[in-house]
Amino acid sequence: MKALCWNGVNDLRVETVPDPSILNPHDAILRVTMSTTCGSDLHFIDGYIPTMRAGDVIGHEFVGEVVETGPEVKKVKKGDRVVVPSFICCGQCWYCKHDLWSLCDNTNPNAEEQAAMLGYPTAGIYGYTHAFGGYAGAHADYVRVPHADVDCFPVPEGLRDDQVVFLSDAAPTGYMGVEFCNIHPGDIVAVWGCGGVGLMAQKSAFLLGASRVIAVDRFPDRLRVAREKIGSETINYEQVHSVLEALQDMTGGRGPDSCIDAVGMEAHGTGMQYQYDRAKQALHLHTDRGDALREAIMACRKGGTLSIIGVYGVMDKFPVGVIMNKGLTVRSAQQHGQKYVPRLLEHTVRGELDCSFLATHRLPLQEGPRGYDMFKKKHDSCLRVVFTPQA
Amino acid sequence: MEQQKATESVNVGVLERLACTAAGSILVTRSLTKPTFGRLLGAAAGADLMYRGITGHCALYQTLGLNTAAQQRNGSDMAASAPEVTRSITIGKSPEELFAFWRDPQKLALIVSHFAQVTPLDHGITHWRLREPLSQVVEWDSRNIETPPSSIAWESLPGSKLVNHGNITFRPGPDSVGTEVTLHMQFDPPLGSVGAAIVSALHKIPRGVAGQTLRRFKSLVETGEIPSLALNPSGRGNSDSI
Repeated sequence: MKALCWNGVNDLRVETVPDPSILNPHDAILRVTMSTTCGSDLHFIDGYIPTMRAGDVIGHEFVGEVVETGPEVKKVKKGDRVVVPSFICCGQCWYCKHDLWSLCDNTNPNAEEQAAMLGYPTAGIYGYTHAFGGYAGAHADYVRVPHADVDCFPVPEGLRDDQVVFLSDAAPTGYMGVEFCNIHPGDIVAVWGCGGVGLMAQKSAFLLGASRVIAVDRFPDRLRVAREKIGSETINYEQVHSVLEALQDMTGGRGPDSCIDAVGMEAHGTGMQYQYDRAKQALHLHTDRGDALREAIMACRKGGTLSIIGVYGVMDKFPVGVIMNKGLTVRSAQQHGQKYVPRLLEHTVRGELDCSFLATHRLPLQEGPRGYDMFKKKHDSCLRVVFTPQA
Repeated sequence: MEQQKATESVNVGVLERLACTAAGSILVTRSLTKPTFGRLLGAAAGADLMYRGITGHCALYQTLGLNTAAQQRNGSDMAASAPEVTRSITIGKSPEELFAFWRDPQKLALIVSHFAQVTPLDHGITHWRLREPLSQVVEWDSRNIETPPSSIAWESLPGSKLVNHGNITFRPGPDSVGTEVTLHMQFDPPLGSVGAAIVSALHKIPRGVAGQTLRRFKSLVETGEIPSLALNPSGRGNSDSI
């Protein structure tokens, strides 16, 4: 089959690779009908996170049709159109049973290696480093989905691929980030980042009862989408003296009740944190990569909630004293998609949510490298590129 | 004495040295490609980092009395004793279920298949043979000593090439978390150069192998399968099995 492979820093190629096959009894094979780029892919494309291997098939946000099922798959059937969250979850362990799906204990074949970095292993992800499982990704004609009955969500009649593909990751990540904020009527939510996840967080904030949403970014076209498609108020941080002051001015001096970081940073290898810190200390080097998070911590009102859904590797200059003295609640996680996909599908069926506006560019999978290039450089107001493998 | 002194002059650990060398090189290269005042300052610091990385010596560490290289050497020294490992995991089943599962030779063979081939023989004896590269030298017969449902111990039979023993214990955890499972394995390799080679090889694996064994056990019991990358498609073919 054809698949988009990572071969090194900024070296993506469409290659012919072996087809996946049923390996475990709960597996299904999907024919991918649509997949999408994700900002978190850029971290390894740029070479900032370790444990990629040349030849890895990438892509973790997708929708497809079931073409084959293993002997223990009972609910999902051949021919079903399904959307699949990016984290692979068993549905049986303590974490899955407590709706902490991305922390699943049973799906990372490289758990020992990953635990060396995090203390404990997480669930596996499609196409996202060997530390996170090493599973082949979904920018391909076909993909193997383990624990298919748990991880495949049938797409209701009448919904298009571009309406549901983002329910695989961007939408549940944003929705979860807002749920962390425990929104009360009248709450004001500020969201850093107007990429796919940030926009989904803004939309979810309204769905979950926020009275106002304020978006922070620097790209005028993305801020315009936030205003026009979501109804957010916006701050272009390059055009204000201080985001903190701007937010205070907009909130009667109180600050937003909840602040969501949907930016993240270019992650560094966690094993190198000490060396990185020391080099920075010795050299007085500064990086603006943690600015969004630090700004969110400063801007959040006293006793408010800081929700971190941007992806981080190594973070320094984390102002824990500000969090402590202002009594902030900090919530964070990789997305627990299996918890949120059913209700996001309901919102979509009822017409309250339509993520398809994120799909600004549609390309055949053959043009995967070009798609990622324009996504990375945000050419042509690109929000997300979606690929259709068998176009 | 001279050697002792040379060793002490290395007070920066291996990973850190690599990182210093890399970071230092970048800073120096940057200043050479486009020199500015800031970059030249950076180049000076980069040169210091490269010195630190290449020589393994850090003046600041010496002043502070720090030595990250010694920590690593001491770590290796500790590993020179007989290979022994203890790991624990919590599994969402009862001690009775786990006890029954582990003593089933076919299920055990599947659980440990990442490092050993286990064949049931008569009279409750199992034959163990480690996977490559140790398969030629390391095989043994072992017998279980069972204390249902709380533990299963085992020991190699007399005449084994690699004397070893171990046990797995099952203790109920708090509330609904399941059972706390602890695996202990100890190897007593033969003396001499062959023994030393085995010890050396075994030292590279036991902690990870024991941890992986428990994770495989947990996944198989809780979900009915072990996560696997066998036949995983990639540009390398489909042989990601580990």
